[in-house]
Amino acid sequence: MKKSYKIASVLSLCFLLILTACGGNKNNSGSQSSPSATPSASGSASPSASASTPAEKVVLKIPHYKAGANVGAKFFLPQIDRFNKKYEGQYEIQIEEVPDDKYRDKIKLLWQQKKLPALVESGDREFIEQLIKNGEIYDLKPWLDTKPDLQKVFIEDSVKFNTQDGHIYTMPLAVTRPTGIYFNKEMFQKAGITKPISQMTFEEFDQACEALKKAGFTPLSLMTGENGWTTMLLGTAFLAGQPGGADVLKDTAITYDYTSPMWVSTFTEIQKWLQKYSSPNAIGAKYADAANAFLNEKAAMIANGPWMVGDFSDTTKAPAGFDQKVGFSLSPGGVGIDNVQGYSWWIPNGLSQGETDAALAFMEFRMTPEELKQWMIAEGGFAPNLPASDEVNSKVSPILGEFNKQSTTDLKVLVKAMQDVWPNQIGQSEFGRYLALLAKGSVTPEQFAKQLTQKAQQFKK
Amino acid sequence: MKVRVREIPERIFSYGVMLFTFLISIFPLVWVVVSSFKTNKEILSNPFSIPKTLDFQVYSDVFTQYNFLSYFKNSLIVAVTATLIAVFIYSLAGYIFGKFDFRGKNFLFVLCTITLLVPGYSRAQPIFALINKLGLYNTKTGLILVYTSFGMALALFILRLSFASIPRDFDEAAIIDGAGFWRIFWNVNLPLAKSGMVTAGVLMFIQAWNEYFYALVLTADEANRTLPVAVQFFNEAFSYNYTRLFAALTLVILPGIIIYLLVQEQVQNSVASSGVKG
Amino acid sequence: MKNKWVKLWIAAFLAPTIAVLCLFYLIPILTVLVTGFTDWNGMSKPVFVGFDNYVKLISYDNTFLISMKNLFLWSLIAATAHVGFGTLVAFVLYKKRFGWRLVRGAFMIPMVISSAAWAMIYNLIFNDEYGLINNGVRKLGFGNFHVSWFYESPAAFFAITLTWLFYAVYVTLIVYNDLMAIPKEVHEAALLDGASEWQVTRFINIPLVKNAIATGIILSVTARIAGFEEVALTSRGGPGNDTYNITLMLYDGIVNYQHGYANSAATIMILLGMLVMVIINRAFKMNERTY
Repeated sequence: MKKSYKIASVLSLCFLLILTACGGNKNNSGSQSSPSATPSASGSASPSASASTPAEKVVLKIPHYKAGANVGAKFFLPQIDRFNKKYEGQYEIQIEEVPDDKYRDKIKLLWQQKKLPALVESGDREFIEQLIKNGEIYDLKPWLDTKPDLQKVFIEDSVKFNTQDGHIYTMPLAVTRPTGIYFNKEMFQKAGITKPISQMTFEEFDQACEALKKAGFTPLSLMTGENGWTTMLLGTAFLAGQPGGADVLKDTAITYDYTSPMWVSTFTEIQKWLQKYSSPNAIGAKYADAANAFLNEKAAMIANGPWMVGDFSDTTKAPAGFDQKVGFSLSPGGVGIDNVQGYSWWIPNGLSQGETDAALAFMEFRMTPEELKQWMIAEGGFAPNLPASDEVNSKVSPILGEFNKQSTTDLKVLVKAMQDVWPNQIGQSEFGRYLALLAKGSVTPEQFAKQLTQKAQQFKK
Repeated sequence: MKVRVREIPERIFSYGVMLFTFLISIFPLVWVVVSSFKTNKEILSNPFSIPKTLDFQVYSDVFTQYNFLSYFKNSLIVAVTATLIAVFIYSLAGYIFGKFDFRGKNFLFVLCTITLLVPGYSRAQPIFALINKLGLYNTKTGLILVYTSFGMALALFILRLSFASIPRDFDEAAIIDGAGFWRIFWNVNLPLAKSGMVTAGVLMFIQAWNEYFYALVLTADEANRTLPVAVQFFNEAFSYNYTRLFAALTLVILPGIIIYLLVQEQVQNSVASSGVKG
Repeated sequence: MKNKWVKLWIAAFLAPTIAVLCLFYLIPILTVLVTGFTDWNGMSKPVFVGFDNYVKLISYDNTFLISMKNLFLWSLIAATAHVGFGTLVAFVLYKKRFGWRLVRGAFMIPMVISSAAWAMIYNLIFNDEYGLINNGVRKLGFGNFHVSWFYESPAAFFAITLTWLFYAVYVTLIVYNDLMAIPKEVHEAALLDGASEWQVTRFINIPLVKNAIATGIILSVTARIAGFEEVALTSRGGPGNDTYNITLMLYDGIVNYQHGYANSAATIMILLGMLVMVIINRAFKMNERTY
């Protein structure tokens, strides 16, 4: 009896070997040029070109979400083309499309197999911090020290955040792109609202909502689906005006307790907006639904970032001429919301010299004044340390141009979004999940705060 | 005549069940297909309305935006290969489980079948590591291997029952004829277990055809992307344009249904013939 | 001598299946079981922490309790209404009434659609603005009917149930297969003895497809234990944690870098599945040949 088991195990081993052999063959014939598909003993993505044969072109295959129909692809893909053209015959970047919400998971899985691509944009905070601890991220500092021009354009806060023990692991930012509120000028006119939103207090904002309601419009395009993005942004602006709120939102530390009065009153305000000033189908609405409501003139306002501006003139998304009706403003209280204290592009350690050089070349390319300007023209934002922003303002969409001008006069406080001071679990799932209950009135703002707090503590380290 | 009268309520009931089954299976899909011919406004104003025109423009738009043909080809290659391998190796095992006794048989069988209870997500990381060790990341072979493993519990369930229900008299007759182990399996038992094999095969094919999570994590570029993964891009791509969303959904759903309808004939025949045999 | 060869053949026939079992199930499951007792973020070395993960999983808040309650209710519905409907369809098809092929063919179609696409379709069907359900009810005269199905309580529970409740074609196929395998003579003899059609169904057919029904129950209940897409792609466990299930708890662990915690949830899932299997096996006295 025992024998049959032994035989079985021997045979299964044979079977395994056959499988392995088959796999090896397939792989060799299946992929000729892709460097990441070639298995290597060391495990790191081995390049098809190495330092010893400099004549050969270095090809980097980068999975990224700004591809296909993603809103960011419109600028990102041509930028890659420009890079490839500039370094023709030397470097080439190829983009593999990954769905937006799967990008971080994909990077994590690739990391576990030591197959990280040569360029990664951001990632979960815990993940990057662990990698830094493990010494798996390439230190950009020595290279940056040889590029003083590059350093000049960085935003100081971002440099400060990215510097750890004298090392810089992820590329600091040069451009800030605060989010604000898009509003339908036509509706505002009909409701008789003349004061710019950025100069309103939240009491005045309420009155404006009432006026819009009286004129027969739904004032706000809110959502509870997904991560509750548009709702969360508006809530952030309110919190920033609460005593102590701006400090919490500027802190680099994560916040785990939401039972203090400023949070509760923010949640109370959110509940009021959801119940009084948005349409009933905000409950369960995803970002696309919320955007759709604004684009099809079913709601007067939506909180979002400058990257949405392209949608207004896109006739597959909005009626023709809609972009003429849209205005963009900072949130009430002159609040701008942006996170310059975040991780951005980084390069893993353990690449070949050729690959590292190619990746660094791209990092530098993105930060050349010409590219930065083009980026701001396409997606908005402003670079505090880059001269000649007037050129950008003249070429940028009038909606963003106005906003940039307003930002220089009305901006009172620049904070991170609530999402950025919450642990991942709250920002990505619990907030939206409990928001539906808050909107329905099944929980009070106090209970809502308590439940979020408990959930936040669950996975606290 | 009396019998007929007595049958009436039973008939009404039977046809009622059949109609209901038919409607819940078909109606959602018909709705998706019909909606793809309506404009955004029509969809939003009345979900029940009939499209005014039969405009295929949206399909060519969606088709040019995404390479459905290549996704379809990938899905087909992966699902068919995995199914064939799986049916073969699980038939071997199902035959043993159905007709032979050895110590630890029940233990092994239970071990095989409780794998059904292990959710795919929980095994993702070790399996990903395995596929990488075999050098099969971002290959169709890797996906085929994983999908071959998927149907194990279900296939063994079905195949063990099929083989067990084949009378042993046939085997004994074959032994008297001097047939060896392999011939008894291949010539005598396998043909009689065809209906079970087809059932298991169809179920495994469907599972492989529709699998989404592993297809997403085990492949990198578009050359190996399968249809279910393509769905993931729709939310972003077509969220503002319901006509396109419905058209894209139709394009993802349709090939599976067509393939199924082709195989369906085969399933019916073999099930019917196994009935004659019984 | 001969016996030895048979043993060799048995081993050879089982070998590929055993290889698959080890590589894709046992080794991964072992990893899961062991790491369930560790603090492991998936990156650093796992640290043994005993039952900490289990304590946290079960007693941190009411999520586990709700998950178990949902699982119990869903399993009950699956074992009764879902399997019952599948069996009923099998018996109706067995009569081969006009159009039975068409119905059987159609019943299979939802199964050939990926759960990702299916969830998207159901999200559209239940949509308040342009979905079929709410507009249908409003057409019937309830002009003010607005239910955000996946986002309010208790509608979410029922909406999720509806995404799988009637799609029991697997059960139908297995039961139908067994029905076809019943020797014709058995029926003929019974009918000759003056048994009514109902009696044939009740006393001959149902007992003879007992194993198939039990298999159907095991399959559908375990599908509930391991069910992820039908919740994660619709209500995501909400509103609040109303429709939470244990796969979502596992998922929470993974996205929060608590692989030990996630794997303790996976372990509980495996135990639950085994429990179901044992109970159903006992209840139906499976493995006994019935004819």
